[in-house]
Amino acid sequence: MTHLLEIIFFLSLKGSIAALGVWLVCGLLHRLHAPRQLCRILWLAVLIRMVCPVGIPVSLPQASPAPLQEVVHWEETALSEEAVFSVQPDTPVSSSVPSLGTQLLVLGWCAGAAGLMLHALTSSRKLKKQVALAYRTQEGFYTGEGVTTPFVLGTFAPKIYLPGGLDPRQREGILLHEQTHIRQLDHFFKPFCYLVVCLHWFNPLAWLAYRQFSLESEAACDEAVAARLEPSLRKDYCQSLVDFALSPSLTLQPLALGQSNAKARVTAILGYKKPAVWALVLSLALALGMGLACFAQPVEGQSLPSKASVPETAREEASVFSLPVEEYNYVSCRFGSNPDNFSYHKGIDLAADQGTPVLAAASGVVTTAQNHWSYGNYVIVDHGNGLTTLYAHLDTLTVEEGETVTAAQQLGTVGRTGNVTGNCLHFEVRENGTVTDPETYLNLES
Amino acid sequence: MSSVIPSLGESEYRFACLVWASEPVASGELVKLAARELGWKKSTSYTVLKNLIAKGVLENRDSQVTSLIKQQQVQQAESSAVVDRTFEGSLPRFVAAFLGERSLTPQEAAQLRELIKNYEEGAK
Repeated sequence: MTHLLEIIFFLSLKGSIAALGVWLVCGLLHRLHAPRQLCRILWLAVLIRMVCPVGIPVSLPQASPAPLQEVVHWEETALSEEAVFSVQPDTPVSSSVPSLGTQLLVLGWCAGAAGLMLHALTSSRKLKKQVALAYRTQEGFYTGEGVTTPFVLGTFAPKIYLPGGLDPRQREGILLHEQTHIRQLDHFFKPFCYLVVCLHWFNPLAWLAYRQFSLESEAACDEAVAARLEPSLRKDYCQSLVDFALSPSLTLQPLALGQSNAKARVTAILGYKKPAVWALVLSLALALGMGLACFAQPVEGQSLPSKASVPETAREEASVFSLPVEEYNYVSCRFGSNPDNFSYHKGIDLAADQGTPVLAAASGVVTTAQNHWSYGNYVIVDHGNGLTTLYAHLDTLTVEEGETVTAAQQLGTVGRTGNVTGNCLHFEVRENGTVTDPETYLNLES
Repeated sequence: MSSVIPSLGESEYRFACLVWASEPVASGELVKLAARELGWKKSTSYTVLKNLIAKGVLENRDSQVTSLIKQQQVQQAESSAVVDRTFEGSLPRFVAAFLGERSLTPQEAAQLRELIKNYEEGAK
C-alpha cells in the first residue's frame, strides 16, 4: 500500500508540473481564439499523465557529447527510502515497520479516495433513479418525469436526456450539444477524469485540471453548436443556456454532463468566429508541443567521468570500498540534488553494459534481495558498524537474503529493472540509515 | 364510471397509450412493446403497470392487460383540470393563452369553427 502511495505522489508531482504548463498554454490558446477542443485535450493529457507511469524520455540540452547509452533515472525519491529499508529485519536502521505517520498517511489517502468514489456512485445512482421513468422519444433522446435539465447519462451506453416542453428552435441546439458530448466520448472521459481526481484528491492542481477539462468540454460542444447552427438559431440556444442556468438543477455533478457557467458560454457563442488559419496553425503547434511536454520524462545530462571532488581527508577516514562494477562505462548520475529534474539523488549511477557483474563493495550479510517498483531487483548488504550498501536495477540476482558475502563477491548483474531507462547500477551507501555520498568510499579515478 | 378519473404522470400516460393502442395485450408483449417504444427495462414497465392497476386505469387478468378507463376520458379530465386550475374555468382564456403570439392557419381555423358549430347544435 505504501508503494502505491509512493507512485501516486510521484505521478502527482509530474502531473502538477504538466498542469501548470497546460494552464499557461491554454491562456495563450484562448488569446488566439483557438478551438476549445485543443484545451480540452490538453487538460485530458494532464489527467492521463497523473495515472500513466511511463513518459517520453527527453534528454536535456546540457547533455554532454554523444551519449554512449541513454540512462534515465526516475529518482529514488525520499519517500521510497523508508519503504525499502523498512523491510530488512535486523539492521540498525531506524524503523522496522512503516512508522505511525506513514500509516496514517496511507489511511487518510484511502479514506479520501474511497469517500469521493462513493459520493460519485451514490449521486449517479440517485440521478438514475430520478430519471428511471423517462421514456425515449422518436428522435432518440429521453424525456419525461425527473428530467429538468439536459444531460447525458451512462458510461457505456450513453443516453441523452432533455426536459419536456422545449421550444423546437431551442431543442435543436441543445440536442446538438449533447450529441457532441457523446461524439467526443465525454461520457467515458468524464468518469475517468473523476477517478484520477479521486486518486489525487490531495492535489489542488488535479481538481483544477478536472474542472478545466469539464469547462473546456462544454465550450468545445458549444463551439460545435455555434459552427453548425445558423446564426438566427444561436440566440435561441443562448436563451436556453440562460434558462437552465436559472432553473434549479439536478444533482448533476460530478458524473453527468450538465450545463453551467452560462454567462461565459453565451459570450463565447455570440462572439464565435472561425479562427484565422495562421492562428489555427500556431495553436495546433502550441498544443502539440505542450501535449508532448506533458509526457516528457527529463533525462539527466550525461556527464563523462571526471575526478571526484571529494576531500582527501574524508576518503582517508573511511574504509575504501571495492568498486561494485569494475567495468563501468561512465558515471551517469552523481549523489546529491539535481536541479535538472527537481530531484535529490540518493546514490551514484554507474552506467555499464547489461550482464556486467555487480560485486559486493565489502564483506557483509545480504539483508535484502528482492524487487521494488522503483529500485527494480535490488540487494542490500549490511557491513556491520551501521554501514549498509544498496545495489539497484539489477538484471539478475545471484545471492539470497541471509547469505554472507565477501568483498568483490558477485551479487548479480547490471540491468535496467525498476524506474530507469538504461542499463546502470544505482549504488547507495548508508551510515546508520542516512544516505551518504558513495564517492567518499569509492576510488573512481579513471 | 362517472367517478373521478385519476390523473396520470407523463410516463404513466405514455405507457397507457401503448395499451390503448393494442389492447387486449399480453403483459409479456407489453413489456417488449415498452422496451421498443419507450426504451424501458422490464422492471420499469412492471412498476408502471402496477401503479396503473392500483389507480384503476388498467386491469391485468390472466396476463392479459386491458384498460378500464379510455384515453378520451383521461384527456378530457386532464384538460378540464388545466382549465379549472390555471384559467379559473374560462375556456376562451385558456385558448388565448395557448395560442399566445402564434396565429392559426386557415385550415386550423376551419376545423375549430366546425367543432364549435357541432357543440352549439348539440346544446340546443
